[in-house]
Amino acid sequence: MSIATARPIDVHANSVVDRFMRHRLAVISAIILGVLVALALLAPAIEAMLGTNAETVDLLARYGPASAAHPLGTDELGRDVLVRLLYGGRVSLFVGLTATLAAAIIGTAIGLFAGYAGGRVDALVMRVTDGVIALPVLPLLIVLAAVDLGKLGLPDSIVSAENVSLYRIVAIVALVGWTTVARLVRASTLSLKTRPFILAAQAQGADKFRVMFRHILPNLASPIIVATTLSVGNVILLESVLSFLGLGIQPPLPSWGNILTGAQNTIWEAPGLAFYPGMLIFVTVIAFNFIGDGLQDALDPRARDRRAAEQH
Amino acid sequence: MSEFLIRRVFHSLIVLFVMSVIIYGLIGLMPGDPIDLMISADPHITSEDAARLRLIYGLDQPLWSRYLHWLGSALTGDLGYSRLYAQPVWDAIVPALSNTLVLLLSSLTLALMIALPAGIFAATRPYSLSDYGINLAAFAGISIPPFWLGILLILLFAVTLGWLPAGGTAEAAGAGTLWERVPYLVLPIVSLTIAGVGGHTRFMRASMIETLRQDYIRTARAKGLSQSRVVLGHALRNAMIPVVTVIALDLGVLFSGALITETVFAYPGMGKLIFDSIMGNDYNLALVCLLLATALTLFGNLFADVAYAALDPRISYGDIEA
Repeated sequence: MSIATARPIDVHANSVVDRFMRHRLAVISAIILGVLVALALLAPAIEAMLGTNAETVDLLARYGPASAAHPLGTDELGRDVLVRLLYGGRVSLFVGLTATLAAAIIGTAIGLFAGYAGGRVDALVMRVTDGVIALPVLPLLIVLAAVDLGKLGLPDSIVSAENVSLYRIVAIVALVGWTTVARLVRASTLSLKTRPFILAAQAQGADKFRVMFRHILPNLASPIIVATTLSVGNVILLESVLSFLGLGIQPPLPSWGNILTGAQNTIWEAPGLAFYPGMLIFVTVIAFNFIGDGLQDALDPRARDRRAAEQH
Repeated sequence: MSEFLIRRVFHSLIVLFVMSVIIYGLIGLMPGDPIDLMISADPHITSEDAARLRLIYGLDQPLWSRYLHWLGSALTGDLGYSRLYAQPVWDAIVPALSNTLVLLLSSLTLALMIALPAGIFAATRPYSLSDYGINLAAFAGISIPPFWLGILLILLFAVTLGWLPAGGTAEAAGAGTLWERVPYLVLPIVSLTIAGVGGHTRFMRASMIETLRQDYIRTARAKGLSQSRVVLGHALRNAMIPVVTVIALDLGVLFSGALITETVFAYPGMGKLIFDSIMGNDYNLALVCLLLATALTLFGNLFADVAYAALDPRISYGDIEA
């Protein structure tokens, strides 16, 4: 599904930055996202400032109202809602960014090799890609998330590591998320590899890795950046869904998704608790989508409308 | 055409077969086996009993031999027995599947009834205030976490206003006529519709804008046709081609959406069945459910390709294959 928005192209706005700045929603989104990231990074400082701790359980102060010590009140275990949301934001943003990056790297490598090799290799790789795209993602992710790592033969130190659910989610998302970038890169590589400057590089005796990574890859930077930015939002949504279902990030490590799970269980007692984490996911995802849209305007203005009609 | 169809069906069957191997393997990697569950349910089972049970159920066999055994019976129509629901797998699936189809078809219809006019409207007034508004709403629909949306709907209509039930079905509440079922369907359908309408709107808009740029539209305008004749009479049919394709391709996405919605609203459909069977270690049921979901998605892809070529005479089946 395309998230591209067509907007008239201003021929006077020459530089990439100028074009991005013209996309007002993208600029606002970038600012909001910057604030969110800063707050998440400052979580320990804010925690110290408030004099509370994200994991302090205080059963006497359950469902506390907003106060100076707890700006957003307390949850069903008397923990500070704001601090937990900030720590949850660290986790959700970390998963969103690293998983997308990993998927983009895998997708770029596969697309480059398939496109450059062509022929049978290309056909086979694309069949596999089509197969992965055809899979019902969420049910499959649930199975993957339920797999017992011990039975996979991984060493116990990894299986029982504290943050294993974090890395498992990143790995799972990367495993199914590479297809969009792979198709994009492969299609562009196919058309680039017959261009004169590539033939010139080959004639000069550059080996195929040099041609792929020095000559073809830099020309693909724009579409890869745009596609990757647009998928960060999806990945954050996916993480939150899995965590919400109890299969993603495992408590006590907070993520926006698993904070919502707790909030749904107490929806009758404290309906407000369900509001904040969902709102944060919503704002973050929509911000990434707008930024991706703005980047598309800025980096790739001509391809934008064409792609909007082709992609899904 | 028929050769194309046969080849595509063959490809789909291969993907389905590979999926069955992968899923069977993955399920084998999930924690615990059925005997572990029996042991935890009955403290009197000794380790000898457990070993004997493993022998009876064939769980002492290696994974590949169990898979072949399963494949053999599945191909002869025996899909096995669901431990969770204590009935044959197929009997557990049929009611869930019909519940899900009701949910999916009504929300898809509703979403398209909103998305197609909205997309066309926005496309005919590009960059206007209303286009901007529709775009913003569509972005919001795409970006809203579907389970949160469900929770918000429950909060508003069940907790605060008390108009509608928070979840479940009429059967669970002791009623079963069609009319009594409706209140239980409203929130899940609305939730799934909102989740789907944004993407379709944006796609319809993009496709229509692209179509309106074509030369034959300029010709139609030059003939002096009215705006509505140009848009609805000349452009719409062409603009619909990619839209129909994407709707078919989205079957898998829709299925994932249904899984979330069904879990939030405790709606007894395929999504909840998949989730419960995986969580409950019900191998037979989980396997068949997942394969059914895959088959549905593959069918959607196949249908998309066929529809694409059938709707657009410029495209031959050979082009798609290439």
